[in-house]
Amino acid sequence: MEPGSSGSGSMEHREETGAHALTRRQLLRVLGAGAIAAGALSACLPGTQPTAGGPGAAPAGGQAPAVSTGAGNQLNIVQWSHFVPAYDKWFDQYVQDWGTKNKIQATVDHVPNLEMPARLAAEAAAKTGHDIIQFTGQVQTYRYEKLLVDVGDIVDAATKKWGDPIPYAKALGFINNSWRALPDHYIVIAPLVRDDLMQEIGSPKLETWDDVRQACAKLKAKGNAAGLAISNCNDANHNWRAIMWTFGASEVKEDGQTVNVDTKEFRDFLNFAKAFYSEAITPEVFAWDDASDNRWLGSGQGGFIHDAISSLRSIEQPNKDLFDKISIRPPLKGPAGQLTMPDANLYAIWDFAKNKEPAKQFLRDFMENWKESMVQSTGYDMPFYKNLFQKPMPVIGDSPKLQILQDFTGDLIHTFGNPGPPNAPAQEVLAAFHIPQIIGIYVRGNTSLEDTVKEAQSRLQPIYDKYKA
Amino acid sequence: MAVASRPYTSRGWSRKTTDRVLSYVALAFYILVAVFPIYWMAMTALKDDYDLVDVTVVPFWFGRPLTLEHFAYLFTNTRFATWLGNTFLISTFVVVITLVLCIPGAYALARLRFRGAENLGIGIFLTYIVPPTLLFLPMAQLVAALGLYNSKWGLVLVYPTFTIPFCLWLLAGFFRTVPIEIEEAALVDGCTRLQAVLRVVLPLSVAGILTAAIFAFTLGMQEFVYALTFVSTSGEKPVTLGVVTELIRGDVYFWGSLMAGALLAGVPVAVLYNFFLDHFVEGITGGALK
Repeated sequence: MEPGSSGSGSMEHREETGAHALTRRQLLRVLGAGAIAAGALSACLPGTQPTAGGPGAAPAGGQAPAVSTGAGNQLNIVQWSHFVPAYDKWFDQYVQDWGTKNKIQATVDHVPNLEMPARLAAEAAAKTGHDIIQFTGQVQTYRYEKLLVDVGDIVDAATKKWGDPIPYAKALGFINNSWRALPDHYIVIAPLVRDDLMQEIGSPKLETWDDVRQACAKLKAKGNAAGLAISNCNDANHNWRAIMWTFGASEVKEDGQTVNVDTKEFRDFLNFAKAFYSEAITPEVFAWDDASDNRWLGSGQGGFIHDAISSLRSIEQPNKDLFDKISIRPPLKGPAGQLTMPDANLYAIWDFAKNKEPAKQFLRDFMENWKESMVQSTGYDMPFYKNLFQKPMPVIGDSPKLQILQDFTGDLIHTFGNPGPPNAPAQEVLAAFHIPQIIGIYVRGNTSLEDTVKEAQSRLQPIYDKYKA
Repeated sequence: MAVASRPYTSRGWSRKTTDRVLSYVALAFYILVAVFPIYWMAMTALKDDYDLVDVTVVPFWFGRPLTLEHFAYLFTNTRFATWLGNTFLISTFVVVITLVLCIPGAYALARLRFRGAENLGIGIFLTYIVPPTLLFLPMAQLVAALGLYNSKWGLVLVYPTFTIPFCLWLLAGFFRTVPIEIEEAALVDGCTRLQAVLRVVLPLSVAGILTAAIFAFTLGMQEFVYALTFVSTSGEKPVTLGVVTELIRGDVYFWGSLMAGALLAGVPVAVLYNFFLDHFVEGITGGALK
């Protein structure tokens, strides 16, 4: 008897009714053949395109062509999947139009920002891939310095049009007297505060990190703790570095080679982190990823986070009431100053790219559109050039909630490796999440301050030594 | 009723009932562990965005009306159908390549007594242990040299590097369970070695071959690192890479659509497993006993 049939009665019933019942084997054959046929058709034919405008939408000409194997009349770009799907749609269309105008087959591929380093590592190893690449968040201009084309002429053109690049841009792109990447935009990381909850505790001033600690201690007692990740995630990297710098501490000295954690400032910073953890946040932050603080704020529970405005924007549509209760505050101060660490995005051209000239031409043309780029990004993309900071800036300048972002520039922002350069060892320390891990070790309370400092030294020293050699 | 008509003896009743209750409790626990992720995935795919983070509602059920907008987004704003098609195409080719190479290889390891066979088998299996995170850089050079960069055919080439070691080991174990006497009888009756394999060994090993095919298919479906590093054009991506690329944007996760995509990609495989369950269990356990 075939599995699945129910005996002779069932067979008789089939004969009586004349119904053609499928056995399990027959059903499998039909399903299998159908699935394989559908899969093969779907994969081979360009008939399954999404509707125009979707984030995955291909150029109107059909399926995007493969990465260049020829030279000269093609251009291939890889960049991150932007916060705003509509931005990618606009950018992809711009690339396509530019290609049509210049008679160049231009394509753009998108990769999530966290996965970009792996993608770039593969391209560097294979010496093939895209012509224009984007460093996003974890900027690796120092690591790939010798594999990148000098784009000084493009930066000069950008400077002529938009003014001097801000110091933050120069720190990231200008290496050993040449520009290895074109600074495109950065994402501000800002304090995001629930105003209504702060009013309930007497609207305390929130100018320093210690003010935030005290206020959030009260909020935590009400069930509205602050949310700062202490984990292997991007948010933890830039938030705790910002706090570290405002305490005058740093992982390395200005020379970018000498580890600098055995200092009073670093100890003060660790003690503050411990106090902040125990008084103002909850243990779940050890398991957080980059989206966790967004959820914490979006749930209505979080009283304070320190993040990109994506966490605010993602609340706007599903919960406008909550969105209205949240404000963006100026960069927070510490005993030694006021600094934040944004996420930067820079374009570069591989030295082994087959289409260097089209790549340079594209960047030269695209930088003319930076104002439009800011508009299309709905205020996420902050410019690197001084004249673009003229108030009111596009989108954010007219928004009472967002206009404060216009001030997140100049001396208030710096990158990893500060006060030294964002060199290869600094990038490795960043990528391995050593700073958040060291904080995690200390704030849990099982390790003494001195042992934590020793642990920090023992982790960072070999990395910096390795690159000295 | 059978239970009511049968006189209870405290010993017989308690043993049977206790065994049965314990079996069901263990089964219920297992089902809970196994099914909960799928339940959570389906819930997330059908909830509206605010329902996902609203702590005032019960997280295990719907606080607001169900929505299909995440599924709609998947099909109207991404190339999900293409990615799904790519995945099935890649996995199908990987299965074919794996079986074509593994069946003779496993048979040779199981039956042909050549010097170093055992060490060779162990050596092949050890290559399965080397993770893709170490191998993707040299593999990138190979794929580029063959002109398969940024193409799904590059993945068809690379995926067998981890399906073959596993399936070879699995099939070799299974072939050893086929009594050698049957094969020898076929040889005595006039079959050549190849005929004996085709007419006797393979028909008796269908369960093992199906199991290897399912493993190869699902391993091919799950893979992420090679796909990420070798493919970036949207139309060439498999579903594991496509959904992550389009639905994770910085720290903005499109949870509903991500879960909808995972559900739609996972359900056909779950159905496939279900149909082949008997063979699958036989295939898995076949190589375990001898």
